[in-house]
Amino acid sequence: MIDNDKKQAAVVECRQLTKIYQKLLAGKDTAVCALRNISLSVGEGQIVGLIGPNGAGKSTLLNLIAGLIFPNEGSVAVCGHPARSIEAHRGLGYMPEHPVFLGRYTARAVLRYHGALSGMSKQAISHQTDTLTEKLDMGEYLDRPCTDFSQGMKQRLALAIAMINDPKLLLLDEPSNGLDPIGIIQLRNFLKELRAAGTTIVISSHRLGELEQLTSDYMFMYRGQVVSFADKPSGAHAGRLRIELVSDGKAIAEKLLPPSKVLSATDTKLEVAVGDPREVPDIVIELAKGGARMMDVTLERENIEDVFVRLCNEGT
Amino acid sequence: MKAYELIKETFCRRGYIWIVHVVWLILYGCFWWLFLPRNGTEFGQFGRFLFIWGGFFLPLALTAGIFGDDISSGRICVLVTKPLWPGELYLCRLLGLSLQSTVHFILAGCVLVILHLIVRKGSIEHLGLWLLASWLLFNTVATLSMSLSIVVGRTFNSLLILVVVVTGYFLMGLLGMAMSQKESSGVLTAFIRYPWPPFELLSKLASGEYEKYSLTVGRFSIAKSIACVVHSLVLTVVYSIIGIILLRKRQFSRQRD
Amino acid sequence: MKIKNKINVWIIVAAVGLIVEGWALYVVGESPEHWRPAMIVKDEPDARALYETMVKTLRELESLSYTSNCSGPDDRSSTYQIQLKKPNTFRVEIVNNPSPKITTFVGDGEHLWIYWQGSRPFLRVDDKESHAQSRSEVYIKKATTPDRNSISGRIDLLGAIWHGLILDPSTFHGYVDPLESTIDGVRSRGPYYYRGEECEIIEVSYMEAQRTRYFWISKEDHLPRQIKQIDRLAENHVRVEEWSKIKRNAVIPQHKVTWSPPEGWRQWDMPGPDDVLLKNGQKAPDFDLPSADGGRIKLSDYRGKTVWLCMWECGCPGCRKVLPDLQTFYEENKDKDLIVLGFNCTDDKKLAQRFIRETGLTFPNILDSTDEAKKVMLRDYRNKTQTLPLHYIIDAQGNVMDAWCGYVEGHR
Repeated sequence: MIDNDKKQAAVVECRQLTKIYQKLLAGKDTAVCALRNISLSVGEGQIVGLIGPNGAGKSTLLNLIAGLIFPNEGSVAVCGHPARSIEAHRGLGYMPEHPVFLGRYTARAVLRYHGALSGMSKQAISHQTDTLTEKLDMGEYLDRPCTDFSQGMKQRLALAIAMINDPKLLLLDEPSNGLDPIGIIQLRNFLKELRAAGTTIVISSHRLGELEQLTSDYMFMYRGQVVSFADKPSGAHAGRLRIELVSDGKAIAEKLLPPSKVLSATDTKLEVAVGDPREVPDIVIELAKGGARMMDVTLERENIEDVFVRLCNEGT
Repeated sequence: MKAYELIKETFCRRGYIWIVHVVWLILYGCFWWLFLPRNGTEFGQFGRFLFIWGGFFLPLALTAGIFGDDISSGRICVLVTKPLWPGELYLCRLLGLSLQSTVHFILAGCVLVILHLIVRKGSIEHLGLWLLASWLLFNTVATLSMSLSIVVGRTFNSLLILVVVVTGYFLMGLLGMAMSQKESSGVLTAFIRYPWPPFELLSKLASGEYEKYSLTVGRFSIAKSIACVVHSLVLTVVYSIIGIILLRKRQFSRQRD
Repeated sequence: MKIKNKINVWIIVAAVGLIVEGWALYVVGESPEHWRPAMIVKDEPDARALYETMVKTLRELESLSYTSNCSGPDDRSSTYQIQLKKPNTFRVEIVNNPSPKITTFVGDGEHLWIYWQGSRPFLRVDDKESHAQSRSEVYIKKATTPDRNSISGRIDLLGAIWHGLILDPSTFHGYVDPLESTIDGVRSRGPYYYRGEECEIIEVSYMEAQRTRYFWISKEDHLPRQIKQIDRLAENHVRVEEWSKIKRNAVIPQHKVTWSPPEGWRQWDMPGPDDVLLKNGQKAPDFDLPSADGGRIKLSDYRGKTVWLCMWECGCPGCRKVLPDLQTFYEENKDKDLIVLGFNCTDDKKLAQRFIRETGLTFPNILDSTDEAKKVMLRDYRNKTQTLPLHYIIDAQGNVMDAWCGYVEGHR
């Protein structure tokens, strides 16, 4: 279980979730374990990105939190209530990967429909529609039927639907699908505003670059398990230190550095994991005292893509 | 406002729904105009047509994919994440259909009365009873179809009911003939009559058998008519409960990623 | 606590629902309608008096005309325009809705005339050839014997009508329905407003409730407005007769109750019920059917003996009279290679078994209300007019010796 150091009230609390997909009347050997013993706690105001290759279990986890499916083992709570309860859904906004609307409805009618389902009054819906229209730049097609919408418009409308009732928790599945670059920027800014307002957001996305700019925490998933849960500022790896030596690199690494820090070691090259760039001078001084004759020291900052690839490789 | 939007949705969800209503009304008129005799004194022949078309085929047309479409397309995922009890979703949609059918049958009654006055064909003696029976059957078939739509994808719920009912009654008829001399035929008759949409009971109600041709007179015949209505409504409630339970227990997910 | 209350509420709702549905199923179910002794009506003096007033009113009128619509749950109806005039004349025009073809009965006091506008319908006694030969411009002429042949009786015999009259119009002329002597009792079923008229409903049961009639009698003129008859056979048969356009003691022109055939029309002698039966010398069709005591009876098992085959039903007054006579005959001739064989293919099994027990019938009886047994009676034994009792005498070789329908007083 990964706890949030900041000790905030958990908006999402998952305990030892396991989800197995098995077809009706099919044998047990056809069962697929999508999630395996996952525990997660997301506090208020956090933006958590779910990252992983296809089949990692990201959407499954999202669906479990949204209450769309039930776990085989474990439990999910949203704002302290079971995931499929009305109380949990009161503070929940969900945006699916491929949003679908009633074709004959206009965007305004769709928002009114979903606002009504959320228990909002007419005035509240109207006010919220105006606000979201402005923020998501939907004014142009608000009164057009949804059958005329492009993918980007649909994404904006889906996001507006998720936001219509000012939810405390937002679950977004591939939110930037179909959005043009301007749309993506607008989305990013919008989500940042939400974060600043204290909305908790869980995003599942393949666009790692977008996530990097947006999220406060990552959850790397692989084959139904959480491989790593990292805060961006205090991540396990801020980067790697590449050191070129004259000789005896391996021996020096064994003698002076903890094994978990050593990413690779040869006689002339050393790669050391660095959690915080302020560790660099201490490492260099330690090696120098130990007799290492260093020719070149370079700090390579690891981006999310690097982490993703590395973790996937570690997983295989 | 929640209920209003859900009720409105049952009419607006598909473009063809209003077309279905209009076509059905035209069919009633055409049947009346073309097939009814000039000096007929009984409403029964037309009543049966109204009963089957309005009470059976109409709900199948209106409920095709009512949940199945939402589930196949994934739209249900957003609906289910709203602070909405599944029963609310089901019952409001049912209410929407029921209101549609009420307006439909009122309009049908008006059309038939006007036609009767203009062409002086047929008789409207039991029109009210046939409309009531058709409305009751509509509600029962609609709930059955809606509940089935939760587990059967797309619009196959209506097709499935049509095939099952036609095949089922055909087979039961054959079995009934084969077993007519045996005690177990009573069990078979009860099986056909009670758990399934009450075609036989409601048509007897509509044709006045419970009143005019009942085996009792006075207040006792009214009791039988009331019992038939009650049974039909109870069956509707039972189908609804099954549908709500299915909706609560069903899992909605398009991806397994 | 809240959850517990919620569960309790649901339990109560479910229990109420079950009770309500149970009541509905019980009332709607078929079983309460099977014949049972409690259906036999006990006489109530006031109701009996009202019934007799109705009959007396009918008989005391000088003229009566009304329209009677007779219908059943099969969605068919026949409409009768009836005009009755003392002492013994009448006119009845019958239409099987929605066909416009009218069958007219005219009784001028001496003869009964039956004729049709255009071609006549295919009757029960017809076959293709006879119908083709006597299809149009024909009439039937019979001598009227009011005691034996009532208007309803003649109409039923014709076999061209979907639903016959329940209350015989001949009551107006003094005819006494044979069922009168079989009345168990008359009781009141309360007041009722029938089409805006204040009526009293009385229930009359006949032959131990094998037949029940309900009369909606108008308080104004003591004439019926609606009559319902229930025949409790293997399946309950219900018929309803509705009266309208009633005119009492109005003038009925003489030409309405007399008729003579137009030029060129031919008299057609319609075959009677006896005429269509199997002829003497013809082979009696074999059958193998369940009996009243649970076994099976095969006609060919009686080869070598003379068989008196009698087809009957509990609700037939003539049958009820002839069966005790047959029982006596059977006992007297048991040792003489002569067997009486009863045949009942219309009645409820329990009802018929009770009747057999109470009447003390010891001769074998076939008791089977399936279609197979009905085919034997209607098709194999040619009871086209469905007249009962039907008698066949079959010799030791299995050939028909004699055949006749009905019961004649003193037939024994």
